[in-house]
Amino acid sequence: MARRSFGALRSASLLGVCSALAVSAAHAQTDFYNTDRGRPLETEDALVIERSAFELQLAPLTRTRVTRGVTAWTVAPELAWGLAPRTQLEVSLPIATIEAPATGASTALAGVEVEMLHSLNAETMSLPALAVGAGVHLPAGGAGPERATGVLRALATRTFAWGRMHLNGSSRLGSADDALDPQWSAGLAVDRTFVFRSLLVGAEVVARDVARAAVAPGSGQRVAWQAGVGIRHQLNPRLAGDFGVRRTLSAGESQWTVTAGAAYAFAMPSRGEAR
Amino acid sequence: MKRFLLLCALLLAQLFPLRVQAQWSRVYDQFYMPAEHNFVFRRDYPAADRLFNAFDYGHAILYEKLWTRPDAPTSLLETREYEFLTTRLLNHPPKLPLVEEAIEPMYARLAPEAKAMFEWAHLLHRQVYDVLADERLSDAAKHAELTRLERYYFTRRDLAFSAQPKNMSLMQEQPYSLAFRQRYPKFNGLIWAYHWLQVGLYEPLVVGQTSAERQALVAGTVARFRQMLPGAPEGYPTVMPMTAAIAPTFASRWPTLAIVFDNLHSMHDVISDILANPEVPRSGKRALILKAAAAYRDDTTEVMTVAGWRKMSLAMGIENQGGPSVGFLPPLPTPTMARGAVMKHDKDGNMIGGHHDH
Repeated sequence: MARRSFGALRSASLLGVCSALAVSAAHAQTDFYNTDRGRPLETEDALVIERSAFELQLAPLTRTRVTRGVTAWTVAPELAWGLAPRTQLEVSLPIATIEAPATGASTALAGVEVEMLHSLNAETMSLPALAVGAGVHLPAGGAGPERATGVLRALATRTFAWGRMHLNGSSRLGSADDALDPQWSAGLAVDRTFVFRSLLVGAEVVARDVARAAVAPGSGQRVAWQAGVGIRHQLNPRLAGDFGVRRTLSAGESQWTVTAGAAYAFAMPSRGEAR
Repeated sequence: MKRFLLLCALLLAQLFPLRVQAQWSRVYDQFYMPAEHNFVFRRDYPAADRLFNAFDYGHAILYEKLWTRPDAPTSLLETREYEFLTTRLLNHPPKLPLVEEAIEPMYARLAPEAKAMFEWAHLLHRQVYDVLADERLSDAAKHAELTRLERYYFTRRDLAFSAQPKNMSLMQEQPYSLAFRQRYPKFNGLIWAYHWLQVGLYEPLVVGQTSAERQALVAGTVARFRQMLPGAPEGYPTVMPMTAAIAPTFASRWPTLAIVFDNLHSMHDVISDILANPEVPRSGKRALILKAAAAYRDDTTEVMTVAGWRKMSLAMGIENQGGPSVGFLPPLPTPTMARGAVMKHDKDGNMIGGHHDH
């Protein structure tokens, strides 16, 4: 029943749901300076979590107004682990609730997301910081995909005197839901750090293809644009909070997404270092 | 898909133009050693802890300005930045550690490897304060924790400073040496005062017998640091403070840590000199920084004996290094050597000469 409800809503409001779920794959970095995907912007920097670090995303919440009367909520607890130099592994359990007049509120697990992100290099005078990621969205729960789908990502960050610029691109691997899911996305973001306030302010523009099932006949619209702004603030040495707002710019009914969350960093004593 | 790839390629080409000979750095960050004493010093000694946040800014803005404004007048650092640091930032230090990449973005791009070495050592610095400040730990437990910290620190051989004491010649007798201290005596004095407090604060935490005594002694050491600020650079150390002189009890119990911190502070000066010296071409600064960093990591270059390091530290004169950090007299000590003077020692700490210039 839950799966049927979500299936119907996906075909009607695909972009909004995708936007909400994208947040669930946030990358963990405690430091407010190291942004994560969806925290607060969808476009993140090319830095990975420190080696040996764990980061727990504390119930990052996203609310998307999909269409008139339809709202999607996502809570995506996530654990990231810096398992090797320049490499992090993260697991996320997005739980989605969709409220619609026709079906009421439906809540279900929206799959399990696993991603490995690897930083290729540290930024230098001649090269930006570069990172690549590979992830899979596994079927689980009433709102999860019917089959596992993979995503490849590439990230770059360049630092300037005024701030940083980030470029992200992702491409979905073959999927049973090709007709529903966007196949690619690209994001460009800038952010500026207010050092003494431990505060980062950023803005972005994201483009993603419009899934075939979501293209209105005769509209010709193939790319959906979204803009967002957000802040990230260090609350104490272990805890960072974030808040962001995004809006769809493409033609049609506007979709607003609001997100807020916090990340807590810690580490486990390794065997060699234990008391 | 083709559109997507084309878009990415265009944006990459526009935003990140690659040079033919690209610098490729694989340096990476690592989490601090997790322990129950994490952030104890921050909790129990907030006034001192916040000063270290301000010190981080001072170090970072120094490198950034030296690298990005090589032709700027001396007043940029000696007046403008110095005034900001001493009249505003040190009076209202940040509550949280600062993101150095955001303060020194261009320097971080120039030498991410050296920056990572500093950050790794600064983490050690802070964690040693945590251990010594943790009232739950007995002396034996503190010793065990500091040993564990040492071990953790040296797991990163690519970042760790050598546990062998380095001769001051590495800092003071290279072709680029002394440029910073000669051109920026006030800022250089402030950096040495930073280093005085950073190593000096270990002593009250070690010699204090009770929590109340440690609190009082730490407050006294911080006050002593502030006493150095007015009338700069007269109140500042005239030579680099050495841990064995400023914090002798700490250095005798944990010589490896003391040596690492002296090597760290020495390399701070080296990078300042490389960046400040106009005779070093900009295209050659990165290579020199990396060469110096390697020399401070290895266990062979310009190594002294531990006994020689202690002897040299004391022979440099504690009155020239800012004076003791506990048990001091009310007035600041009167230096016996000119500011920035150079003393030469052999590996056993015997003085073999001295001069003020190259």
